[in-house]
Amino acid sequence: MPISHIDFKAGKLLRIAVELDSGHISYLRLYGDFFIYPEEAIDDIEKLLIGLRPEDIVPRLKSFIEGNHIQLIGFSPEDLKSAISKAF
Amino acid sequence: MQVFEMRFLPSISANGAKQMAIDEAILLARGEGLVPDSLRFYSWKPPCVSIGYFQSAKLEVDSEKARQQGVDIVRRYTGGGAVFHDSELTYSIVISEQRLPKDIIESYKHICGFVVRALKKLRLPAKFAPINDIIVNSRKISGNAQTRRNGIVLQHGTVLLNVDINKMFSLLRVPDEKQKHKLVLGVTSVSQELGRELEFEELASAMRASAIEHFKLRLKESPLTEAEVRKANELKSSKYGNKGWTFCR
Repeated sequence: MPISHIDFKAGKLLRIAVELDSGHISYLRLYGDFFIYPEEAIDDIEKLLIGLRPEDIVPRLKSFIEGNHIQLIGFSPEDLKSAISKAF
Repeated sequence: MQVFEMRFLPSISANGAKQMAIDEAILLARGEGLVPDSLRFYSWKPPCVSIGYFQSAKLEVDSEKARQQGVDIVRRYTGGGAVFHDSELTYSIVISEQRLPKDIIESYKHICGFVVRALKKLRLPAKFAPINDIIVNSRKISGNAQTRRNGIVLQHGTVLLNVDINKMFSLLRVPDEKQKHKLVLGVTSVSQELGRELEFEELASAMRASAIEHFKLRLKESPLTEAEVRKANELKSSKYGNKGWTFCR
């Protein structure tokens, strides 16, 4: 499938480039005016979600951010799932 | 209540890469315990679009128009949105997390409190608008962003002195016309709200006084250390002035 570009208004604007392969995420970049502390965690979050189906995003991301003391401000794991689901 | 001392750095006007490099150099030096908490005010010359850490430069800025108009583009160390910096005062504060509320949005509110207080001194009805804005009469007059390293917070933010909406929106890409209309109506400046021109120095003076009152501190005027200047120069060439960083997302 080609890369889909999706804008999703959460607390902040989440802008996503996502590619799905047989229902699984094969490429993902997250852009936007949100905040993540620490910022470098964005790279790990993008990698973490590769290979997942949209319905698996929320538990996987929640457990990752809680386990690594990461704070997302301006969007939630549920927002990310909703945004990616729009690519289907 | 205990009064603490904060370093107050001289105001400089410089390009975006240099200003962002200085902010990060102070944050790093403070994290190593080499310098005290610090506050500075600055302006951008030439005008510059700064984009947030997570933004796509391509999606947010018309870089060809920026080039034609002599406007720089820089990626910040902090998240948040794209900002066109022209006629404004930017503050940056580097402060220990221990002096701030633990909750991040509360910490934004606390630091923004000194800007709100300064605007109120100028008789503007300013209010903090979560997550990271300050508004006057329901319109945004200030955007703010913070990052944290080694127990230290860097928060920088703008206060618009004047705003050229047409120029701003010729440089910033907005997803759709409806949002553009909303943004145009949603931005204001100190001069617009006061009905008179306000100079950088006058706003800086109000903000300096409000910082002393709000944070209950003494300000001690002191320049960057030699090590900070060296680090800032290094970051300017290797990171903020480098297209690899600006266009990395």
